[in-house]
Amino acid sequence: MFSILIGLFVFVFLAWLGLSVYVVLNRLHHERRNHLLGKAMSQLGHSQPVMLTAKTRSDLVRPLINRLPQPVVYRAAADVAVYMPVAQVFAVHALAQWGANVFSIASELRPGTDRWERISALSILTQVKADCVHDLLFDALQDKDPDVASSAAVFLGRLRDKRAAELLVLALRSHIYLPSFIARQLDGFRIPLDGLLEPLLGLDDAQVRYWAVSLLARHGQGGAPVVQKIARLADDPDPAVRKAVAQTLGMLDAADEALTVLQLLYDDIAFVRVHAVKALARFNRPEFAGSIVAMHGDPEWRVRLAARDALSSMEHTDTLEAPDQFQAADGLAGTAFWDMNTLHAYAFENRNWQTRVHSGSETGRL
Amino acid sequence: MTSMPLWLVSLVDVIFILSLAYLALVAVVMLTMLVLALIEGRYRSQQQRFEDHAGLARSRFTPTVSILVAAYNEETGVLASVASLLRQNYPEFEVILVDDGSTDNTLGLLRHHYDLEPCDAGGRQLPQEYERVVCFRSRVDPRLSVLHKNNGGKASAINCALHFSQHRYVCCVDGDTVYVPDALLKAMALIVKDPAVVVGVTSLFGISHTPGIDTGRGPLALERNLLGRLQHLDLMRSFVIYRLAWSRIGAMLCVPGAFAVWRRDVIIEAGGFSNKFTCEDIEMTFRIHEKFLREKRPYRIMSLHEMVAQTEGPNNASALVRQRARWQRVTLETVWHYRRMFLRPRYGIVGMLGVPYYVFFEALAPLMQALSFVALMLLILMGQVDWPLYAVFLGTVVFANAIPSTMAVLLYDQAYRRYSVGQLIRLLILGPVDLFVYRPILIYAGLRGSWQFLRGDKRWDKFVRNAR
Repeated sequence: MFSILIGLFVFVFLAWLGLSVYVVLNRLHHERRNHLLGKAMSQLGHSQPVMLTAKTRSDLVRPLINRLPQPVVYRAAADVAVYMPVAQVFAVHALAQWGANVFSIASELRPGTDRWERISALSILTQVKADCVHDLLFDALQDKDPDVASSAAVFLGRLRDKRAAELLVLALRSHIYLPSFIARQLDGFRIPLDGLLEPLLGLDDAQVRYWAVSLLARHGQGGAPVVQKIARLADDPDPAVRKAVAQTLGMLDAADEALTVLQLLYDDIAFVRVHAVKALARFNRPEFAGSIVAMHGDPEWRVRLAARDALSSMEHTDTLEAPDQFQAADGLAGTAFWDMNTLHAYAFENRNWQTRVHSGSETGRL
Repeated sequence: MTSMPLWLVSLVDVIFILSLAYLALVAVVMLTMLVLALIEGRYRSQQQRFEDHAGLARSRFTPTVSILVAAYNEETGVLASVASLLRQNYPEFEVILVDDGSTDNTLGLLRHHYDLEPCDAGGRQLPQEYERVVCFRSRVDPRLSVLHKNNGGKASAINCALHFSQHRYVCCVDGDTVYVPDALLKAMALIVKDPAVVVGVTSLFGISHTPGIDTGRGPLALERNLLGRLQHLDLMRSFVIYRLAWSRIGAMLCVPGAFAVWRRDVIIEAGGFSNKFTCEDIEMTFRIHEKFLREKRPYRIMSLHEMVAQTEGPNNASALVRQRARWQRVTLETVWHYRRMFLRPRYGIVGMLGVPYYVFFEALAPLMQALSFVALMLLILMGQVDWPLYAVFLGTVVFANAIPSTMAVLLYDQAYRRYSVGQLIRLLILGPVDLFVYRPILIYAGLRGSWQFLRGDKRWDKFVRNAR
């Protein structure tokens, strides 16, 4: 019994000691590598890396990289925490040193490739903008592994060229990966995408229409035709699309389509009304203030709150303050139609005829 | 040898064998947890290397979050906490702080520092309980709202904030905790990858004597005081090994209140936080597991090992006992309340492994540990202790007990490299010390909490905040 226990004690003690020593050694090893990286970074940092050519940067860092093993170079090239100019040098070096390997790992031709190695390889090819990278990334986007797919989406987003945008739009349209994730990448593109996004507005898939409308808020500079197409979706059966229409028209400052936004103020769905109020506030025109004031009588508190916030954010609305009934706890939930009519009186005095006409029809409906 | 009645000798033998069996079971569970934590820890640390946090931080499509802060007599730390929350590197969020009837200057400090102006409830339909809430909005930072209500407990405060929140996700935090700027971003990065399924996320937080102070040493500096350091190591072990391991198999049963991101609709659907329990956090996690599993809906509640905050820890043994007794009490209350999940196949891994783990290794642990101690005392009295054998046995337990702490330090360091080599060595040495200095306090606190549970005590028993 005693000898078994002694054996067990020795085993457990050595396990603890070994693990502790490993923690320290692993850290010291990391410090050494980090020191090399730090040296590279400070050399680049002192020499204003933006002004350096890729070759000069490479010459500065290469002697340091040559001492590092392949996995470290791979990871450093893809690690988001590594200073970008250094990561690029690592990427160039990895490609020069293990070129064919990088391609085969990125395309998963090599069996048993670890997912992080593949993501690193894809990142390297993205950084050097390799010719085949778009296709490789699109393949990766369709991978079953969510980490590979999400990284591929991010890398396509980083390429920010027409081809990458086309592939991301295709992915959005075909539900290849999470639409919100794809949309986030597309939203970061600096090139105009309205030509790619416009056709999506007519698709049967409501989710795709929603994202197309939302993205056009930033990429809808195609002028009146695009705005009109967006406005036409104000009658969309899906409330999320209608909400996106209100949001986008507001962001595009499409005051010409104010009638559409005013129509959405009386949507059956509360969050559509909230965004219609916000859109009118973005137009920041006194003629719409009356319609916003009218929303203080909305049965949904979020709409009432949005209306109040909208009014306070707009200029020239001093005379259009919220009525006294706007109290804590119950707000205007119990307000009668009489009050609504009074509120709409503000709108009748608007200079904008569309607002006046629309408000009138709404009052009539009430 | 002292003469003892035969029944006592037999009883001691039974307790001794039971203790050994329990210890063996603990060892098996610990090894399994270590393996799972190693797999999950490595996965998460690799994942965060490639995460597009910068993209998420600037995108207008990043989900918006309401940060809900419950504060009761937090005048010493509330300003640092709110400042850290308003500094979050996140595109759109609001901070709703509920002053739960503080009797100190918590509200006064906030009013002065953030230039709070009274406002109404924005027309919200509030339950009767919250009709007399006084609302303030900050003129300095419009993202901050402060609500003042009569004292009703943490669950009531968070529920009140929930009624005011406008965003799809809520992040429940404490008013004595200081958060790193990327706290929200790191948690939400996990959610946006699978928003339909991930309903809750938590992450590691550390212990500090005075969070937010001495920031010259870094926001996550290692505590200098021994008790604080031992608590810090305990939290690291709890998050980096146990929560990570349970998260791996989908049975993480406690999202702590100091940092809990939830999908708002899920909390509303579950009926909000409950005031019937001593603490609200563990019960909510159990409730959501129970609900989703019963309704056979896909969901995930996850934990990360990224240190996102520093919370104030008790700086003396008596305060620590009070805090841990409360934790033990709520564990027992929750496990008892959800006993229907125990070993029920319809609750999957949660019912078959998670809840039994909580019963045997959390709820009953202080009792088993105390029994082993009593058995040892009796064996000594009976003169039946073979001291050399016992010394070797104790040594084995000491170092076996230190292995999860060491592994936690390893996984954390490999992922984040935040501590210096010296600090790492200090943490590693604390592993074996833990059993002699820290564990006895926890056993005592556990027994006290169990007794309080049996008496039906529900007090929060908040420890006095450390002087700044």
